[in-house]
Amino acid sequence: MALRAAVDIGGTFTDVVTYDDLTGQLLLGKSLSTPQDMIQGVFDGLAAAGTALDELAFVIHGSTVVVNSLIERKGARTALVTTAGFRDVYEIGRINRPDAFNLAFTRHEPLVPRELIHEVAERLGADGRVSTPLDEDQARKVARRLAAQGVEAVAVTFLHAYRNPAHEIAMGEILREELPGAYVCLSHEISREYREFERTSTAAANAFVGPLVSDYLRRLDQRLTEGGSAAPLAVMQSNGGVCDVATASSSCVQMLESGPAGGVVGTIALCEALGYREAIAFDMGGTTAKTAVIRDLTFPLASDYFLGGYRTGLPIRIPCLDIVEVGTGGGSIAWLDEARGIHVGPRSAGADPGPASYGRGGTQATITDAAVVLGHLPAGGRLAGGLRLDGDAAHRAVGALAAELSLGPTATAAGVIAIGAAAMANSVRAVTTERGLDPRDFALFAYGGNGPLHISLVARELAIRKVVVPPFPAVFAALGMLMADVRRDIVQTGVRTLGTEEHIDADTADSLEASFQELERECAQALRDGAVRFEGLEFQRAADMRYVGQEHTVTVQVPGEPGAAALKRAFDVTHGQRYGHSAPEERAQIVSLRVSAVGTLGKPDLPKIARGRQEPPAGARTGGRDIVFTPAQGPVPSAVYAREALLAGNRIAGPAVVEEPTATTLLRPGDTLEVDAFGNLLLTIGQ
Amino acid sequence: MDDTTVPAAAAPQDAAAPDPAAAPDPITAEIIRASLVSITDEMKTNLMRTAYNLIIYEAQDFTVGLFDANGDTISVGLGLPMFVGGLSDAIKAKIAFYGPGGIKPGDILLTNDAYIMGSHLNHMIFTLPVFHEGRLVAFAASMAHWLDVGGLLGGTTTDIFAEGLQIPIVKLFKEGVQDDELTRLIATNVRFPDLAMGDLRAQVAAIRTGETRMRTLLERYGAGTVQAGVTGLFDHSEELARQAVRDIPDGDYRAEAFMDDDGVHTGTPVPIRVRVVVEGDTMTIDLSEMSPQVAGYFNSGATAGRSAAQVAFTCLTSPGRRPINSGSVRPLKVLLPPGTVVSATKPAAMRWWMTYPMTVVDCVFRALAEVLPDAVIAGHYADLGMTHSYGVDDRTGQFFQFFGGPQGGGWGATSRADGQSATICINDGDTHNAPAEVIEAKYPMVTVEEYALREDSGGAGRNRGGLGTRIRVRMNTSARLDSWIERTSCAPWGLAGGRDALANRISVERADGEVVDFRNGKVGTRLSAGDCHVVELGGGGGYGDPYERPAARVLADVRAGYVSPAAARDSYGVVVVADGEAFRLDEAATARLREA
Repeated sequence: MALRAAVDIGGTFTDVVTYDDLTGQLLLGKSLSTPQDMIQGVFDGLAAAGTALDELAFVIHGSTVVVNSLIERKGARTALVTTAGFRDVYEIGRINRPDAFNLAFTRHEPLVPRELIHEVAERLGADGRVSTPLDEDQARKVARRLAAQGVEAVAVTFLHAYRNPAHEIAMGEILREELPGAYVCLSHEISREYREFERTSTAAANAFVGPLVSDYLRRLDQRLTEGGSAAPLAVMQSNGGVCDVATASSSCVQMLESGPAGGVVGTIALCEALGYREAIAFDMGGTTAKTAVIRDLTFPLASDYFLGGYRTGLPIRIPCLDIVEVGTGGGSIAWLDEARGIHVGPRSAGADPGPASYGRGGTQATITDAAVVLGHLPAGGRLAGGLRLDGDAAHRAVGALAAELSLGPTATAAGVIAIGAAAMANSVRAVTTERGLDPRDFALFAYGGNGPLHISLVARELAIRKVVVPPFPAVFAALGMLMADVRRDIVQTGVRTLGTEEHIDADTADSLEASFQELERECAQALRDGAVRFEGLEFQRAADMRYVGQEHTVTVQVPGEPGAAALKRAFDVTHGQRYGHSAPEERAQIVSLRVSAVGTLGKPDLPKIARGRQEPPAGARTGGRDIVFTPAQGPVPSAVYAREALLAGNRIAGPAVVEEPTATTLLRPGDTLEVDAFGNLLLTIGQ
Repeated sequence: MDDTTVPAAAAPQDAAAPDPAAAPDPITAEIIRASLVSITDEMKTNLMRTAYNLIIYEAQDFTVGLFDANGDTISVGLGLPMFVGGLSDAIKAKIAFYGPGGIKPGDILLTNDAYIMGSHLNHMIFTLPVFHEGRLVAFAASMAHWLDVGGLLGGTTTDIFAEGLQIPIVKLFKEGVQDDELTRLIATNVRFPDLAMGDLRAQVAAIRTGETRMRTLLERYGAGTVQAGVTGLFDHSEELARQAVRDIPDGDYRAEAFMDDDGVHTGTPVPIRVRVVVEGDTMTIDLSEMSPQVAGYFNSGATAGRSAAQVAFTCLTSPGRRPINSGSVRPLKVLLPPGTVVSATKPAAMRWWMTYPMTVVDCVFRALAEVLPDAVIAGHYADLGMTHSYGVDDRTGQFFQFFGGPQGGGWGATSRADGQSATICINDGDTHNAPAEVIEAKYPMVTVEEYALREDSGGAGRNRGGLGTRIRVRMNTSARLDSWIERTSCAPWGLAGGRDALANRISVERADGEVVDFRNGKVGTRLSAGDCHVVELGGGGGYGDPYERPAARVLADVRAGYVSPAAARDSYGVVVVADGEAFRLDEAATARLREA
């Protein structure tokens, strides 16, 4: 009864990491995901890790179930109830047309058809005061109509409900009476920020997945129990914390980015162990690369998130991992446009057929094929699922592209890798330089199946010297979930003017502390009411702030120093850092307050590996191969090491590769590597 | 140059001649291309997030970009699509003004000259040169719309002097040092100096970001390679556009439409006439038959006329390609003599410059409809639908002004799909509406009572036009209301047998129940507390014969409430009958109607 398990269901694989509190041992399991019955993948993965269910003390679960349901639009028959006059908020959206010159553009597609959207007479003002009381007779008629329309889920969004939820609550009661089996989501329960379209979209998405996800979690919990597990089930959320099944069932959309959130939590845990406070988490998989920035060991939250991308996506307004994604992964295809310009991605060969070198029918050159041609990956090398990398197929695919470009195959392959790295570096810039941060001040953590292979070049593009490849990079998200705490966030809109540092608005200063405390109490109560037991309880406070006259806000961590003046100062500093200018003499406004409550959970001690000398042990060097780094230089003989045989303190100088069953770390000439006590590969990137 | 009748403003620059040996391989070319896009993205993010006024950060009325030493566009981040050529033209004028050697490192050049940039005085253009190894090799520039630049507050202007502060080409910063006297002069002449100075700082920060990153790129790859990369980018974009033009049958095509009036001569239509000549891989858009410039403030300058042609051309030849650069419009010639409504000369009034060019764009599509049936789009509502309510709040005694809009209208259908509903007009791109909750939190004198799709506003067709929207706003104080709504008479047109959409419209519902319908969209009236104004924007035109639209799709439109049962019968020949609260198709009656 001493095993903690994290189970991360991804698009292709289900990853399991278990930790034995008694022995301090980590065990891994990887199995193919089972989209038909995702729950089966959990048990396959646990079996692959050799875990008996009755040994489990705690299970943390992350899953793509919510993303899949929304992207594939397989969810409940969902209705929406709105304030009279605002039936079309969801379809009208924000009217923007990001593809300015594309006449075939399409906008977001609502999850609720217009015939299932109904209006009810009621109205609040922006201050939360009732200007038109809820018409309860009409509300009941609407509820009955929805029952007749056979809906399975209902979202309710009333204007200004973020300030006063009374009408939404009353509507919810009527719906529950008239549609006893239906899933009901009231907008204020899931988002208390203003902007009615975004809140509507969030509530509608939550309702759309609600029946499916709550059923999925209930069945998973039940099957674990039936299998002999007495462990509480916790669910990984996009905010970097876990919650219990009941919370996850009412805030389903919090599971959207559960996998990537696990990776970032893991990165923060490693940072603490290694003494870093600022890091970039870089996760490169088969179709995309994702980047998040960690500052002062804080889990990075974004205030806006678009499911399916910004251009046509659906906004989900929850505290969610702040991550930037670029369509560059191992499977990204290199292609030529009509005027023979070369591009890489975002088209992807995906998992099926996959890159040409997977030997499953792919013919177009991908980043992985280019890596095989250059020897970064070994022809004949083993892939998960029993496949081997087909070197001839890779050469054929890259050769065909090279012929069209009138370049040599090696130059072409190196070019494909370089274009991919440049794109990934640009996406790292989007979360660093675009926010006034210098990437060179950060340690770069590389994981995901392809992160360690490409990180050296990405780091060079950004002039980053310090790179960390954690243990088990291909299942790092699952490992990270074991490091998570239980967490609850509330973001509450309420516009108030703070003033300047010298002239603080006294009412605001007074009400601020009271408001924060009230939100903290609410969060704490929610955690205590939950099924996941925790040890300590900590709060984090932040505020979304702007200068009077601005619209967009920046999120400011409330400083340790108490008082409104200190908050204003912190805002000026944050604004200056992010945008290059600040205006301390101007008045600031607070738009929303953010409170996070974190209940600490016991965590694994990161296991240490045996210590060796500077020279890796003889058995660690498994061979060598010729690798091309720059076409001009040609193939360079490079050493190959097996990661599992490396010892703490070992040093390796590039050119070299370090192989493990599901990932390869590439050291370019000039790079050096040292293995630390936890088995992390600490790379110093050459200039 | 893409222009044959307006003299080019460009002067030869002391540009470093690209070293041919440094011409980049296709790989480096692609990396440089992606970097240029990334730099303008970063400039854009910076400006949007730091700007002080909502027209910049919500309506995205700005454009940033990188330009070569001649002022040609390397990459622009929009912002405002209709400003696609505005920055380049302004930089060329700045180069011509100061001459070779007259621009020093750290100089920040500013202008809002309406006749250089083709648009209203609110557009402030800041330009910072990029020097590398002592030579001027590029420019970073930003344009953004300031909320106020002085001038007449309400009513119609009939010359530029009534429209506010005019800043000729000046150096606001000389070698990195800001000119405080010039700054004070500007701050003194605008109504909201704090906002203006905030926007000024944001624009300067954005171009400094562009300059820094451009220098990094030059240091990394060398000026020769980067410049060769830019030349290659121009050539590459040109080749892609020429390929697209080659696919258009040669010919001489025409289309026309009209605007309601110029706001001074009420009820006198203003003709918009467009001729498009395609010869091989070159397209000429001839705007010489456009109406002469008008008395009211709906004129725009030659840059706007050319930009309208470039927007239409880009939509047809290279949609979605990035970066947007000068190479992609090289196959386009624009014939545009001075003195038309889209090439107005001083002192023509320009404050509401945005409206007419949109109809020019739609007319280009209309002209090519028969030869490019699968590339064009039916007409859209082509207006911003803006209103301006202002006055002293009865309850607080404070002066306020509230701009209503944009709210979105319908786009035209295409041969492949229905039109999009509730979408920003073609003048703008990634422009957002204002949420009712934000409006009410910020403007307590306003209550939004309704924001809805407008039933039956989309033009009927085999593919239906998108729906327009209706917004109803109640004033909680007395106020003055002005509006600038156009195209209330010339409805968005259908193509290939598709029907026209409903046009734009504004009305006022007085608190006592009286409804005032205005004859056109340019309203100036007083509102009492409790009065509502209602802006109804048009839909998009239909595409193809509505009788060819499958009855099941018409039924679905009726069920969703996009089309009324009456319109289903009258426009589509489809009989839908109400069955309790549901609708069903009367197949027999439909067959009879459609065969008749």
